Amino acid sequence: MPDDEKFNELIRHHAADYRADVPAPAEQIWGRIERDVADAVSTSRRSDPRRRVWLAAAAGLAAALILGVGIGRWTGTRAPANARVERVAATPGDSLRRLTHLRATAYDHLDETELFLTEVRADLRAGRNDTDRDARSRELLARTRLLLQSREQQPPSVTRLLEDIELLLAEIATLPDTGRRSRPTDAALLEESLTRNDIIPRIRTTVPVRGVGT
Amino acid sequence: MQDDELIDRVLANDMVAARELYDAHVGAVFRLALRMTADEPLAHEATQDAFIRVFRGLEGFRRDASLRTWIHHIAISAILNSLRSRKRWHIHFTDIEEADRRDDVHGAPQSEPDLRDRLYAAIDALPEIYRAVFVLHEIEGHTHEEIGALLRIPAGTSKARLNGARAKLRSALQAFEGEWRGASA
Repeated sequence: MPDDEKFNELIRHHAADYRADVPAPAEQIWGRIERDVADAVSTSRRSDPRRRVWLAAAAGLAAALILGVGIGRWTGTRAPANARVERVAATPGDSLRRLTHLRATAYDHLDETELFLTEVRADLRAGRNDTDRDARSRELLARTRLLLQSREQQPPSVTRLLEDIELLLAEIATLPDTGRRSRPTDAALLEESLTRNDIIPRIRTTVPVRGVGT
Repeated sequence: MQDDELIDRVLANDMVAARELYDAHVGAVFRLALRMTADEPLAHEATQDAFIRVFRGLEGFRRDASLRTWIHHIAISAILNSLRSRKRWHIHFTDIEEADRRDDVHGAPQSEPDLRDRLYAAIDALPEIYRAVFVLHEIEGHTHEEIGALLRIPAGTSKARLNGARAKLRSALQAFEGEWRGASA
C-alpha cells in the first residue's frame, strides 16, 4: 500500500475518536436556551387554523403549478399522432418564457424580502414591534417555499439563498408575539443570522443579474 | 415516524417533548461543534445557537429529510457562523510545536505523547478552514460537493483544503513515521 494511502487510513481510523469522549454540557446549555425554546414553541402554537388554511392553499397552488408544468411537458413530448401538433406541443419559446417568468418572480420576491428584512432589523434594533411582521413573514415564507418547489429551474446560488431565507423567515415568524416589546436577544440573533449568512448582500448580488437578461 | 410524533408534540407546545428532542441530538451537535472549533466555549455558544434555530425553525421543517440531517445542517451553519462572528474564520497557522507544548491535550501527558495524542493535538492546531473540511470529510463523511455547498466554496477548494490538512498532519506526525509505515505494511 502506498505511503499516502497508509497515512490517510491511519488518520481516518484515529480521527473517528477525535473529541468523541467529551460529554456535552447538556444541562448547562438547556438552562441558557430553555426560555427561548419555550417562546419558540409557544409561538408555533399560534399557528392557528386560519394560517394553516393559507399555507394549505399555498401548497395547493404549488402542486397545481407543478402539475401544470408536468402536463405541459407531457403533452409537449407525447402528443398523439392525429393531434394538431402545432397547437399542442410546447415550444422551446414556451419553456424559455416559463423560465424567464419564474426567475423574474424569484427576483421580485428577493427584492421584497430584502425590504422586509431591512425593516425587521431596524424595528428590532429600536425595540419596536411591527403589527404586520408576523403575517408578512409567513406570507414571504410561503412564497419562498413555492419558489423552492421549482428549485431545479433556479440557479444553485438562488436555491441556496432561498433555503437560507426560508430558515430566517421561519425564525422571524416565531419571534415573540406583537404587543410585547422585542428583546435585545431577538435583535442580536436576527442580526447574527443576517450578517453571518450574508443574506442581504447575497440578495443584492443576485437580483441585479436580472438586468443583464439571463 | 417517531421523529414526526416528537415534532408534532413539540409544535403542540409540549416542553417535555422539546427537551426529549434536545437530549436526543445535543451530544452530536456539541461534539461536531467541538471538533470543528476545537474551542469549548465557542462550541457551547454554537450548540446553543443551533438549538434556538432548530426550535424556531421547527414549524418550517418540511420533513422531506430526516430530523437528524436537518439539525446537522443547522448545526454546521451555526458553528460556521460562530467561528465567523468571533473573527476566527481566517487562516492562522498555529505552530504545531506550540500545540504540543500545551499542558493538557485530552489528558495526555506532555512528555510522552503517543501517535494518537499527537494527531489530536495536530488536528486542534490546524487552521480553522482546514479543520472544518477535515472534520466534515474524514469524520462526518461528507463528500467534497456537500462540503462545497455547506461552506460555499468550490468542491475543488474543499479537496485542496483536505490535502493541505493531511500534509500538515503528516508533518506533525513525522516523528511517528516508522510506526505508521510499519503498522499496515
